[in-house]
Amino acid sequence: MSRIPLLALVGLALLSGCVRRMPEPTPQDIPRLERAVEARPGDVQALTRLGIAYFKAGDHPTAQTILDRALTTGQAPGAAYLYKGLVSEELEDWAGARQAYASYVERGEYGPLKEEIQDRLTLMVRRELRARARETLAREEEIAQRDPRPGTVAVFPFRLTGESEELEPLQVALADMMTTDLALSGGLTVLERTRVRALLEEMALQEAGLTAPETGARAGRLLQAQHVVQGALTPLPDRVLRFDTDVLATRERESRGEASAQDQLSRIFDVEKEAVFQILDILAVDLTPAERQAINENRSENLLAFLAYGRGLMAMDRGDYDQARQFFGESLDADPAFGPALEGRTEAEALQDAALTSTDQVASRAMPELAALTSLPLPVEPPGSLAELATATSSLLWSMTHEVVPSPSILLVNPGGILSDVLADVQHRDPLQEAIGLEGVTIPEIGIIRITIPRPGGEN
Amino acid sequence: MATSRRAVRLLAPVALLSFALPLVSGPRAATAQEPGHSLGTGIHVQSYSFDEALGTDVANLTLLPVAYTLPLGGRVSVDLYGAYALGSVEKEGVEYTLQGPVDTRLRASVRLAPWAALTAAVNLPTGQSTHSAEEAAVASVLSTDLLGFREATWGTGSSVTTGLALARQAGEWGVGVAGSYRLANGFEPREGQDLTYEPGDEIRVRVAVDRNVGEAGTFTAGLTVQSFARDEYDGRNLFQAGNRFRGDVSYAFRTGRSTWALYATDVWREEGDRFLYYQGDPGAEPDSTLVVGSQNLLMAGLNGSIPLGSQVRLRPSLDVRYQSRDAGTGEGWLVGGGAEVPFRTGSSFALTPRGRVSWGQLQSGGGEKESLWGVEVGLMIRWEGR
Repeated sequence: MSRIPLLALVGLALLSGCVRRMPEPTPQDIPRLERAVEARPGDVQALTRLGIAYFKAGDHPTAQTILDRALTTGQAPGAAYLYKGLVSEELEDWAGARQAYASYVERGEYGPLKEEIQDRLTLMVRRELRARARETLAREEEIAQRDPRPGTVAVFPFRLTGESEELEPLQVALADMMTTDLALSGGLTVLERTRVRALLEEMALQEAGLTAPETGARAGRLLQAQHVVQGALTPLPDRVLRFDTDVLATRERESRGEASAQDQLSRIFDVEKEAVFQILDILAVDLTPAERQAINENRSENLLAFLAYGRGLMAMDRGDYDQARQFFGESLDADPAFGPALEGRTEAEALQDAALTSTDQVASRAMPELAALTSLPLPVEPPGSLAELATATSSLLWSMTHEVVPSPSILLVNPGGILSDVLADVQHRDPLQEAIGLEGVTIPEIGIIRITIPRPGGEN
Repeated sequence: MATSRRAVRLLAPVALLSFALPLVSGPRAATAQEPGHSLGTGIHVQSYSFDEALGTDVANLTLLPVAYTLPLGGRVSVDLYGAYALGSVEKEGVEYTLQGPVDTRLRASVRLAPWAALTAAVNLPTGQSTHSAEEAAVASVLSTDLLGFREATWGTGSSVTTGLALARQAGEWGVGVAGSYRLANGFEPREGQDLTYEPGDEIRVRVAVDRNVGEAGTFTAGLTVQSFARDEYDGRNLFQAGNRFRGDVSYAFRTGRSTWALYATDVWREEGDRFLYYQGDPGAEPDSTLVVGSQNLLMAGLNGSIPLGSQVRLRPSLDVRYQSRDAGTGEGWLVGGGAEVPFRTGSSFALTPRGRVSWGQLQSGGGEKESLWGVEVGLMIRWEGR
C-alpha cells in the first residue's frame, strides 16, 4: 500500500506545473455549464457563461432565457449585459437590446468596447422606434381609442409643393428645427423627430398627404399626441418662400389654428421663427424671455449649411449614414458653429459604425470583458455527469475530489449529476457486512447473525 | 498508548486543513460572484420485492436526508450531511427493522490553486452502529451492491479522510489524478458483545482523462483503485478486503437543447481473506485463511436532461446492472428506468420529484434465478440562499 501514495505524489508533481486558463465559453461548454447551472441555479457566473455559450451556438432564445436569469440576480457582471444586448439584437428585441447596452455601458469594465456599445445604443434606439411604430400600427384600433397625452405635440415633415430639388431638404430640416423650437418653450412635450418619422414611414406617409387633416389626425392619435403640426412649403417667385402650418387637434380631428408666414428664402429662419411663435400662441403657450431668446437663436447663419443639414437628415432617414455624415460635414464646413449639424455628424458616425458591425464582430472584441468575468474566483463546481466534467479542468478537479472523498451531501445540495446517483453506492464498502460475509438478500436464520472469530473446519 | 497515537493520526489531517482554510479563503472580494449556501432535504423511498426462494420477501428503505453546503470565500466549500433512515426487511411474514440517525458527514474542500484541491472529511459516529441480530439482518440485505440502497450500515464509527486532487490540461486532454487516505476508528457492532470492530484504513487513488469530441460532445474515462488495511475484531485480524478497481467511460452529447450521457462502469472487487483461528486459543496467530470470492458489478446506461421550459426539466434514465460473484449466490442483473423532474418555485426553491422502477433476477442459494422488482420514489427540496 505504501507504493500507492508514492505514485500519487509522483503524479502530483508531474501535474503541478501547469494551470489551465479558463477559456472563453464555447458551444462545447454547454453540457458542462448546463450541469453547473442546474446544480447552482443562482450562480451568476455559470449562468453568464452558459448564456454566452448559447449565443455562440446560435441558440439565441435559450441564450436570452439564461442571461435573463443571470440579470435577475442583480449581480450579473458586465458581460451578461453585453451578451444580453447582442442576443436581443439577434432576436430583434430592440428595446431589450437598448436596455441591456445601456446597463453594460454603466457596468462594463472594458472602455473601448463600452464606447462601441454607446454607439450601438443609438442604432438600437432607431430600430426600437421603428419596431414600436410597427407595433403601434398593428394595434391601431386599440391605441386610437386612447386619450392623447396632454400637451404633447408632433411635428410632421412639411410638404414641398412644386418641384424644387434644391429646397427639398427644407421639408425635414424645418420640421426638425421647429421640433427643437417648440421643445425650447418648456410648455410642451414635443415628440422626437425620429419617432415621428418611424411611424410615418410605417404608414407610408412620408412623401405626401400630410396636410390632409384626417391623415394627420390618424397619425397623431397613434403617436398619442394631442396636437399635430403639419404644413406645406410653397416656393414663390423671386425666391420667396411661403410657409403654411396647421395645428391639428388629433382627438377632435379639427384644426386649432393656422400659422402662415412668407419671406425671402434667405430669411427662412425668420419665417420659421414667426411660424413657431404663432403656433405657440395657438397652443396657448406663454414664453419666458429666455425661452423666446433661445428659440430665436436656434438657427444657422448660412442657408447652405441648413440645406446641407436637411440633406443629412434625409440620408439618415434612408439609413445611409455614410452619406449623412458627409452632408453634415458639408453643413459644418459652411457654418462651423451650427450645433445640430455637429450632433448629426456624430450620430451618423456612430450609426455607421454600429450598422456595419455584426453582433458576432462585437462578440469577437469582447474578450477583455470576458477576461474580467473568467478571472473571478470560480465556484467549486458540482460533478454533474462524468462526461460533462470533461470540458474544463476545474470540473475534472472537482470530480476527482469527490471521487476520492465522497459525501452523500452532493445528492441533495448539488443535484443534477446524471451519474452521481448511480455511482454513489457502488464503490462504497459496507465493511462489516463484507467482513462477516453477510452481504446479500439471502439472509441466514436471524439467530446466527453474529460475529464470531471463525475456526478451521467450518465458518463461524 | 496505541489509542492515543491513533487519535493523533485521526486529528492530524483536520488540524492541517484548519490551518489551510484561513490561508486560502482570505477576505471576500467585493466583485466576486459566489454561489450562496444551499440546504437540501427530502424523502427517498426504495423498495424491492423478491421471489420467495431468495429468502427475503421485501426490503424497504425510507431515507429522510438533510444536507447543507456553505461556500467560504470562493475557494472553500464546507458541506454537512445527515439523515434519518428506516430500513425494513420482511421474511416469511415477519418484519425486521433498523431505524435511526445515520452517521454525519462533514466535509471541507479547499481549492489551493486552479489545479489543486485539498479535501478533508470527518465521519461523525451519530448513526446507530450497534445492531441487534434482527437489525443486522436488515443491514445485510440493504448492503447488496446490485440493489443500490442509499444507506445500509447506519453507523461505521468515526473516521477521517483526507484527499488531494490535481488536474491539468495536456493538449486536447484534461488529465486528473487524486488520492485519499481514510483513517477509520472502531465501533461495537453487536448488542450484547462488548467487542470492537475496526474497519481497515483505506487508500483510494483515481486517474481520469477527458476531452471534447466534436462540437458539443465530451468523453471521459477513469480508473479508481481502492486498497484496504485489515479489519480487526477484538484486536485481532478478521478480514483482509480485496482491492477494488473501478473503470468508467462516458460520453455526453447534445441534441438541440437536451443533453444526454451514455456511460458504462465496472467495479471489480478482488477476493478477500478471512482469518481463521483455533477456538479456545484466541491469542494465537491465525491458522489459515478462508478465501472470500471476488465480485464484479457492471453498469451501463443512458441519462438525459430535457428542458421543458425555462424552469422545468425532465431527466429520464435507463440502465442495466449485472453482478457476478465467485460464490454464485447473489449473482444477477437488474434493468431500471425512471425520471426526475426538477423545477424551480420562486427564485430560491427547487423541487425534484423522482420515480424509478426496476426488474431483475438474482441467483438464490439453490442456484436458481429468481425475480425481483423494485420501485423508487422521492421528492427532493432544495433551498439556495445568498
